Parts: sequence; structure tokens; C-alpha cells
Amino acid sequence: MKDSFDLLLAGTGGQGILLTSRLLMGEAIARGVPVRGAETHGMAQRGGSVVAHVRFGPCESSMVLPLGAQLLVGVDATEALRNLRFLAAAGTVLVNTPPLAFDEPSVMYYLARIRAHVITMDALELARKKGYPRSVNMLMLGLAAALPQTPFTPQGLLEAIASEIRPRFRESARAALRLGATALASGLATRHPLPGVGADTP
Amino acid sequence: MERSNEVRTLALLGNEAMGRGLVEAGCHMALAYPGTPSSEVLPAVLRFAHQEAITMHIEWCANEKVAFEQALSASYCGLRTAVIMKQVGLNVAADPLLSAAYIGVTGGFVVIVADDPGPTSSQTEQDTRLFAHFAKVPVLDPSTPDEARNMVGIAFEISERHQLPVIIRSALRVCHGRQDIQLREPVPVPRKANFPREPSRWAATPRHRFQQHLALNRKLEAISREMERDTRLNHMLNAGASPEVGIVAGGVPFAVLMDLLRRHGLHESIPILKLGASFPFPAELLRDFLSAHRHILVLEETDQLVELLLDQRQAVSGRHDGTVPREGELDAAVVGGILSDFFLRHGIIGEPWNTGQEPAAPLASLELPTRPPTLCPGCPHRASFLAIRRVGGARGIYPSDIGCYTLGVNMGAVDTAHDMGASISMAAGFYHAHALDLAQGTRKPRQIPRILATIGDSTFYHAGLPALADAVYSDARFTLVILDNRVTAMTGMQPTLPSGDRVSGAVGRSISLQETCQGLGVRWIRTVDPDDVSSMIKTLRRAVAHNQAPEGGIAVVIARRPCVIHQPDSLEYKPVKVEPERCNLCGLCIDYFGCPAISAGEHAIVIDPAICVDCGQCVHACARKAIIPASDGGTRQGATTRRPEGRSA
Ligand code: SF4
Ligand code: SF4
Repeated sequence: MKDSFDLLLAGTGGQGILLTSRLLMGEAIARGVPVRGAETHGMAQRGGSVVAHVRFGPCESSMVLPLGAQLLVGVDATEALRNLRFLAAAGTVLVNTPPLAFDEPSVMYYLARIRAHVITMDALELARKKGYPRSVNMLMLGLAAALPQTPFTPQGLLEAIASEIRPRFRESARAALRLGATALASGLATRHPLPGVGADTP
Repeated sequence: MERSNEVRTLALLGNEAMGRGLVEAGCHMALAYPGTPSSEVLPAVLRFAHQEAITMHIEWCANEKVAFEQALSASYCGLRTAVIMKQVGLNVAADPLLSAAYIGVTGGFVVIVADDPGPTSSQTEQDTRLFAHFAKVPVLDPSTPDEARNMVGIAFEISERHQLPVIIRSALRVCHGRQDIQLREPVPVPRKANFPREPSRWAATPRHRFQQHLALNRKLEAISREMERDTRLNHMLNAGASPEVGIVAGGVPFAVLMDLLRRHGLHESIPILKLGASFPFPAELLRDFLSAHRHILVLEETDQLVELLLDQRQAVSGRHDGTVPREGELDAAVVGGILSDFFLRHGIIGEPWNTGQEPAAPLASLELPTRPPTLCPGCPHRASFLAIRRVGGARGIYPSDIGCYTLGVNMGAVDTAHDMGASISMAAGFYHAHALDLAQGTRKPRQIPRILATIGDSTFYHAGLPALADAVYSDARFTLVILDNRVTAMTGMQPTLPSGDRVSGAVGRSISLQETCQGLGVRWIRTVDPDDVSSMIKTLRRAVAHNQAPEGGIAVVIARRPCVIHQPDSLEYKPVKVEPERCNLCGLCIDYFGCPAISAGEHAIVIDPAICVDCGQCVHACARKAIIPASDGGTRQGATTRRPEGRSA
């Protein structure tokens, strides 16, 4: 699938997952890139699992194929684990977590086997400290946008904020996005080393 | 999110895309009853009509049958009309649908029905295409949001050409899929309501119905012939690429199929017949496709329709021979497995595909915490169920209904949730079943279990009224609690009849629950605030006494308090605190009461201030008085209620 990029956003109700996916889609449309996606959630009165699939470039279905997501953004660590089967070989997982929460040996072994890259950031703590506890999603999105492989940029998303996010939340969203975009460089986010196992392609 | 007219491409949900399609096709009237995964269509119609300054009649109706019949008579008058519902809603509208096929329509009449394979938020996985086949009306089956939008216009066209209702069956992944959609200019269809009085048609007698059935069959034959050629709906991909295998696919499985073939580099080498119209069925096209390929695979959702309609199936794999599972959604993992086996068997591939099942197997042992749905913190239903369960006791019978409050099952206060409105009829049935023992002398009056039924205000007007009238008439004895939270919460906060709010923003007449029940013959009616748990308990005790009194009867308790998500400001500030030394961690408040803010700490329960909304209900949940009012006289410190992102059924 040339020129296509699939990603998954995983979290719980109230974390702004659907808003984040709409922002990504709005940005793609502004660039003239075809985009599809899907929103899945259970009978979530509140606090239930929420997953958004976002697909850039040519594709048919609204959902990412298993082993198809080049990027998995875990706004909630448990929800990221729940959706790990979507992660592509050599794909990247961004997890909002104190690093240890992802440290289950079977998970680490699996990730190593598919040659995944894991980047962790304690985004909730960071967001709290910065005074915008509800913008964890934007911190994670900024982190994603700064990666070289993602088809969207922090700048593009900053511009899309005006049309996708309500005025009251725009400033904190912008601030969180900017901070997230510099998090790897500034050491707020870390690449998580994986155990050396015989890597194979699933 | 769309504000200016220059924005011509929008990322729309499939449901919004269909709503756009209705506006673009010049639809005059759109009516619906909310239900996941269909609920976003009607608000989109409203929004787009408003943006385009188009006048339409748009309304949430009391139920699907009412919506269907209103739209139908408007179609008799020549208007383009649409009704929207979830798949089980069509069960409710089945009666008018079957007649409408015989009698036909005048203005285009489109029925949008959202199927829920899985099911994720429905009672059944029923396949609306089979319903269409049974009702003898054409059905279209989109694979993507954009196709769903385009099919709306085609459906109106077919409907007007053949004077038949046309169903668009859209499945969950199309309804809740999103895609960039290029908006088109709405095509105005100027029509003036004109009812051509023709009783022999509209009020046909059984003898005429036979003639109408004859005419209907002819129409279906004609549509079937059109479907042979209508490449907008049915078309071939990679024709002649391989004589060995061919795949017939429609709906969501078609989209999944295309992605999988592309991943494995087979998207240009496997012949595919894409069916956008599964009934009436392009028989010639299928016959040719079948004879051109040695092995055929049929991928359709959710049940067998195309497979059943084929006249010879020896070379066909699908559900009839167990190749395709007969229940559940055909997601990419499932379809991947089916394709891998099929291609392997017929020599298309040499190695099985990795469908993502095997490598992920070690992850299955992780035992991730599930997030079962629970009532929101501060939800008035939780307080109601606390009182109901206390009065009904362990031997009580608790018939309930469809809504957020079905979650009262976690509190031991919901025994049944069958179909819309069934709480009341089932309560009557439970009573009469036990009363039979009374008549036979095998049970004493006091041995009849207390029956406390619950129904929401929206569900009550949907299908509760005939049930209540009948129960009063037959002297059934039970207490009916109408959970009046002023809104259809579970499906995304649509207005209810008692609220009097209309989707257009116009003010309707609010329908009084009290007067309705009075009118239906109920003599004992009380209204309570469920958050005042002690008085609700007292009221329920009196209600049960009225049920048991020789001269008594049915009792109705209206538990009135707005949904905290819909009207967060309605919540009274009643902070609580935990007395740790009184708590023995019995778990009653966690397992039974189940407020998400409460969890077990080391020596006593703890309340998470980030989740707690200071509703004060839990004071009544603890028998040991370990949760008590915290009279700090301050203002709200804790969480504010927020609109949930996820919503359902
Ligand atoms: S959405 Fe409203 S009715 Fe539904 S559980 Fe939450 S508070 Fe209760
Ligand atoms: S902990 Fe008590 S006061 Fe707080 S939301 Fe839950 S029931 Fe209401």
C-alpha cells in the first residue's frame, strides 16, 4: 500500500480520542490527502474503551487491518495493549504511561519479535503539571506528529485546531501539541529498549 | 465542524454521509427513532438542511412504526421521504413495511436501516437484507460512507420509478466509519403535497391485495433486470483474471476483502462480483459469474441471502457449507482466515496468510481488565435501583426494558430486558402466572413475589402504552417505575415526548406522564425524586401495599430527575465522606451499588474525587453508615459531569 499510513488511537471515554481523530482527518483533508477512519466504542456511558482508526491514502475499509497500523497511540496504556494486534511489523507504539506499566515480559517479547519501536511518556503527569490535565491526547498527538514517519506535522495540526476544536480549548490544545512535539528531543519522552530476541516478521 | 460554504470536503461518519445524501437528493421529510448505530443520521439531515437553507420536516418520532407511517402518507402525497432506524426498529415497523410493498408509494420513500453485526449494542444480529427479501422490497448494501451517500440518490430514483419503498441497509462499520466526502449541491425537487384519493389502492381489500401482489412481483422482476446492468450498484472487478476462483461480495466484507487482497498483492488478479444490491438479485450476472469460475466464495453480512438465492451451489463456498461463520461480524481477522483457507485450497497461494491471530496469541493471556459499562456517577437510575431493590428484596421480580437503565442488572434490580416496552407486558405476565396459583389455592396472596418493573420515559412512549392499558384492564398487580430522566440518554441525548423539545429547536407540547397514566386507567400514581432515596423507598413500599390490597391495583411511580450527563447543572451538591473505622470492606457499595468513584482501599473504601460528582446517593448504599454526608457547606470540588464520548444502543 504505497503512500498509505494507518494509525490507531486507543483510550477511554472522556480522553478526547474521537476529537483527536477528527483533528487528524481535518488536517489530511486540508492537505488533499484521502482519509478514512472508524470509531469504535462499547456501551460506554463513561469510561469505556474507545478506539479510533485513522487511515491516510488509498484504502477501502474504514478499519485498519490487524498487523496494519504503522503507529499505535495509547492515550491509555491498557487500551494500547488491548489493541496491540493491530500494530504492524516494525511499527511504533506511543504509550502514555510510567514506563513500567508496559513491562510485561510477554508484551516485551512480542514487541521485540515484531521489531516494534516503543516510546513512552508520562503524559498525564506532564499535562497535570502544565495545568491542562484534559489535553493528554494533544501531548500524545504532538509526540506522534514529530516522528519522521508520520504523514502529518505539528504545524499542520496546529493550523487544523482552529476549525476542529472549540475556542475555549484551543489554547491548551496548542500548548500541549507543541510540548508533545518536542518531548522526544527534550527527554520528556523516551525510547524504550526492548529485549534482544530473535526478531521475525509476523 | 463545517462552518463556511467553501469547505466542500468533510470527514463524515457514514451516518452523516447518508444524512447529507438525503439533503442532496431533495428529500422533504426525514423521521426517525434513535438507536445505535443509526442515531447520527437525523441530526446530520437537520444540520445540512439548515446550512443549505432548505426547509424540511425533520423529527424524532415516538417509535419506528409511527415514523414509518407518517413518512409513508407524505410519500402518498408525492413528497420524497425517509425513515431511519436501527435493525430491531424495523421489527417494530414491519407491519407498515409489508403493506407498503403491496400498496406502493408515490414520492420516493427510502428506509435507512442500520445493522449491528457482532452485535455491539443490540438484542440480535438480524440481517435486514433478509427482512427486505421477506417484505419484497429492494435493498441496497453500501460498503463505504461515500457509497452509502450515493446510494441515497439511487434509492430515491428506484423508489420513484417503481413506486416501491427502497431499503438502504447500512452496517455498523459503514455507519460509524468516517471518510472524506465531497459535498454536492442539493438538487431541489419542488413538490407540493397532493394526495390522489384512490381508496381502491390505499385501502385495498384482500381481493385487490392479490392484484397488488401480482404487480409487486412484476416490479421486482423489472428491478432485477435493471440490476443486471446498473454498474453503479453491481459490477465486476478483474473480470477474466482467473478461471479458478471468483468472489461475490457486498457491504462491509467487500471493503475488507479489497484491503486484504491489496495487502497480499492479489487485488488485480482475483475476479470479484461486487453486489451493491442484494435484492432483487441480478440473476443473469451471477449465473455468468458462477459459470466462468470453478470455485466461488460468497462474502456477505450478516446472514445468507445471496447464497440462498443462487440456483446451484455445488461450486459455492459460504455459510451453507461452513466456510463462513454463521454468527458474528466479518472483520478483517475473520475474512483473512476465510480467504487464506480458500486460496490455499485452490492453489492461489502456497503458504497460509498471517491473519494476526497467531502472533498475538501470547497477548491473549494478559487478562487485561475489562471495562464493563456502568451507570455514570450521579446517574439518577442508580438511586432508583437502590430503592427498588431494597423494597423488592431478593425474592422480587424485576422486569426492565431497553435503555441505560438496563445496567441496573448489575444492582440485582433488572431481571429481563427483552424488547422495547416489554417490561410492562412481562410484569403483567409474571403476575398472572403467579395469580393462577392463587386461584388453584397452591399459593397464598402474600407468597406472590413483589413485581417492580422499570421503563424509561422514551421507551414508555415507544411501546409501553398498549401494554399498560392492557395490564390495567386485566387487573395485573405490579409497581411500574417510570425512570423519567427527560431524555433518550443511551443513544446520544435525543429529546423525549415528556420533554416537549423538538429536534428542530421548535417547542412541542410536552406530554405529561402523570396524565397519560391516569388516562390509561391507573389510579395510584406518585412522582418522586430518586435522589431522595428515603422518600423513594417509602413511596415504593406504599406502592407495593397498593398492589397487594384487595381493592388495589397497578401502582405507577414516576422517578423524575434529569440525566446528569444531559443536564449536569440539575445535580444537587451533596458531598460525602468515608468513615474508615466503620467500613469493614463488605463490598456492598462496590459490587451492588457500583458507583465508579468507589473502590476498595487498604482498610476501607475510597472515593476518587476525580470521578465523584457529589451526588450523595452512596450515603444510602452503606448499611454500616461508613459513608456519610460531609456538611462542609462548600461548593462542588470534584469532577464535573461531562458528556461521554462513547454512546450506544
Ligand atoms: S447517560 Fe444519563 S441516564 Fe445514562 S447512565 Fe449516564 S447519567 Fe444515567
Ligand atoms: S461516590 Fe457517592 S457522592 Fe460520589 S458520585 Fe458516587 S454515589 Fe455520588
